[in-house]
Amino acid sequence: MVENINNLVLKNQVNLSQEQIRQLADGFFSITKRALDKYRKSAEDKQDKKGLREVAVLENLLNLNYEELGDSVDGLKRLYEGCYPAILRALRYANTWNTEEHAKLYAQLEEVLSSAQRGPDFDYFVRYFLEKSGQPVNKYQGESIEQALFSYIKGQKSEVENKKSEKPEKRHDALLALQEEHVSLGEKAEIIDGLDLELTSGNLIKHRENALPKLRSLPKNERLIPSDEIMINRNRLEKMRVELFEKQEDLAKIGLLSGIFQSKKKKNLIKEIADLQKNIGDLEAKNKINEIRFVLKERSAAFDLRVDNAQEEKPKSPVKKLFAFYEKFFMKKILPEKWRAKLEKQGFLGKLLANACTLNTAISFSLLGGGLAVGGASIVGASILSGRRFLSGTATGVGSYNLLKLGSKTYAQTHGWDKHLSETEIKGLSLDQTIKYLAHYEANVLFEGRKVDGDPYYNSLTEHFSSILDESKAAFIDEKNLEFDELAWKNYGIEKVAEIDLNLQKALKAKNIKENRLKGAAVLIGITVGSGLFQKAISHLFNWGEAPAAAGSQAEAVSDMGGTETLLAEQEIPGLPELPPAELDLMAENQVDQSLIPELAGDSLSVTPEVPADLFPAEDIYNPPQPAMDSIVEASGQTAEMLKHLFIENHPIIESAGGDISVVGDKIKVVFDIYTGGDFELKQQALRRVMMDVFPVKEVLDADGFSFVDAGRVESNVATFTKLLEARPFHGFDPSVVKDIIKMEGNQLVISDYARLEKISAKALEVSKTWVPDMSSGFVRVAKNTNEKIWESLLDTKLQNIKT
Amino acid sequence: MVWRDLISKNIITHLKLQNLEESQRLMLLTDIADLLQKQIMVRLIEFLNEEEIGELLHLLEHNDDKALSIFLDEKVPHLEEIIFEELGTIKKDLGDFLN
Repeated sequence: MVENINNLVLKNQVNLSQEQIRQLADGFFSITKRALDKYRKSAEDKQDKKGLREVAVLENLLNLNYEELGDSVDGLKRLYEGCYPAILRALRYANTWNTEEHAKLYAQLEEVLSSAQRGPDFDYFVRYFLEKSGQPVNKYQGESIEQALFSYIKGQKSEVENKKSEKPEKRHDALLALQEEHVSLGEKAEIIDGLDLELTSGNLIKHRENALPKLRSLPKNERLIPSDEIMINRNRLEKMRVELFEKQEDLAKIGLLSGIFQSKKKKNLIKEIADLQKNIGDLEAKNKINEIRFVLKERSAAFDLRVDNAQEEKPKSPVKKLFAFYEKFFMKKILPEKWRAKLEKQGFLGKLLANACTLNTAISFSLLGGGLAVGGASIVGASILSGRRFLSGTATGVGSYNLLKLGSKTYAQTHGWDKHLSETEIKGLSLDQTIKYLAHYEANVLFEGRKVDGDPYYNSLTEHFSSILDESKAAFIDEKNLEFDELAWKNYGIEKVAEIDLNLQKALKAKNIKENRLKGAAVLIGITVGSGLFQKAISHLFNWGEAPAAAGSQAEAVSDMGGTETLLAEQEIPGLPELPPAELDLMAENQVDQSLIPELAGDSLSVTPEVPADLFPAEDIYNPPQPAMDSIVEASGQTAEMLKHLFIENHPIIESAGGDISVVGDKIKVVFDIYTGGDFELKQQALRRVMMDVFPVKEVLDADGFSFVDAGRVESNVATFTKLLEARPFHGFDPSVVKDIIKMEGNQLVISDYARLEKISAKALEVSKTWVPDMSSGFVRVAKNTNEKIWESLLDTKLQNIKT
Repeated sequence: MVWRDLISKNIITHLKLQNLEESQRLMLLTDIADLLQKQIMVRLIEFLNEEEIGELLHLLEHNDDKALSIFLDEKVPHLEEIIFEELGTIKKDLGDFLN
């Protein structure tokens, strides 16, 4: 019999069109899915592990690459052959559906069935389904196959038939049934052998690789079962919606009556409805966030697990190490040319991103409905394409490496791009400003789930942008034949930008800056081109400013572009500063018990070890290094802005912690407000962030990662500087070393020279190894007492712009 | 709706996040983008053989972007398809779960 059916499947299904297969699979999925919710709920309510496993089987099935299954004859066969016992169980729950849901299912089924081109192949599918479900096909002779199927789903069978139909359900109890069936089918025994489901504590049901037949893109991970909290909230919402519906019905009824009493009741009802609607909205929002976070957390853990498993299987493989580099990978600006071409078709933002964005930004753009996956109308004139070089720099300047931040109003507010400009104001914008307003506006529109198509404000900005570019071209129109010399226009622009790059590089090289500084300079160049100096260059280009200073030949400048490009390619910095992270519970930090540290509790210096002299040469402290960037002062008047941006890029923790950053002379000054309602309540909290900021990345990335011993060393530094700020020697350091570098001014912690502070703290960190040799240190205990989320958050922020 | 239909859909509208506060939307999107990166990296790891994994790691460690581009072109010519698939899948998964 089984053999015959299989033959029938193979014989008949080859005649099914792909469209039919899709429709059938679609109907199949739809039925199963709807039944599944009830089945899952029932299994959860009863804590029925077998049921849960079976739900997991079905969910895994539904999680398969549907299209691939549906597109192949074999896939469809597998679909209902491999899992029908579980489906049967699930479908039983269809009988308990309420009328409304049932009606919906019925309508959907009808749609599926009526849209499929019925013929012998389709009939076979239904017949097969019915037979497998324990309904002998001959029972339905004389009745249409569709009616038979509906009858089954609707539970309109006779009692006798129902009893008969229960038999196979018992036989097919959970996985045993599945196994039996597969074994009987012979060919599927291997599938069952590989099936290994387990219920984890996190409500995560997973199956090992190869649990199901391998398909090209078969998701090998897991389906999720909502946590108890989510289920409770869903139920609460459901009840609230029912209540709302009832109240609305009551209100409608009252509308038909009259009288003072009714009027009062009506008023109350209206208020209750409004309250309820608000509560539903609030709970929906809260629940949505919780549910998304739940999925992300579970999924993320599952991916980690997959990598762990892969590593376990091949201990010597660099799998895990590569995985740890995923963020770095996506910071790479390695967009293939065809991706760029796609992006360039997508409005202004696409053009901007096409010329500079990282893989991460391209992906973020895709999440918002743009990016790699779609084409689009070119909104800005094609002329902009010839200005790639400019856009590349500008993209850096507006922080487009992080599209999500670029789109946020908060971010725009900090940069002044959030203002809705009048037509007159738009016409007064420079090119640089226009680019920034445009980039933010388009990103924000996407971020709000809207589109810029036909948006008048967006159109005004883009029109202005195009007109500025067109005006600039006037200077490159040949007077004799009135033709625009695009090449000359382009080269002139390249020359100006390259000239600035060259000057910066020369200035930097003259100071023998170390490699990491050079990388920093690359960022600086990007920023320079994007904001300050780009403005200058472009103003020369458009004859808005003075003639540029004499530079090397154009050929020389352009030939050096290769070097500049290399520099730019090295930078992996995602853009301008992060928004402050989620509010953390600072109270957890306030509760640090410093009595855990013997030397702090006793405030004794007697145990202070001698600091090795070579670790702390006095000249390093008292003769600070000449600022490496001072030559840039000669290169541009935009130095302060550039230095600030550079600092923010390289010290994301400081800005995210609320530090007020400014440039005084050639020094970076940082101020934290230390009082209730300020940046922090305790200066230790600000110091913790500063010390975390200066903690060497290489130690974070070493074999043990950022361990509690590392955190203990950070705490050691916090203690050192706390004491030094109180004018007390500590850990071998004299308070005089921080003179003119860091101090408390009233309620403010003022760091006047961050570069020197970094140097001193690096020394203190070296010394801290003496105090924090291992986990037994009191500083480690302090670190452990600090909310772990704070360390995680600081570490995330620190590593967001990581350069190795 | 299948994952392929969701690739070019704005996740804000798909998950109906318009009414969430901006900071919450921002955080969620950042986290979603992060998970997406993980997903894609896992796909890469599972697609590449051990030698190629080592090579990719080496290129990342040494910031050799040019070689990295060539490597991806040669070894993972369907990277775009992988990204599409994961992009559509994550939108579908989240949408399904919320619904």
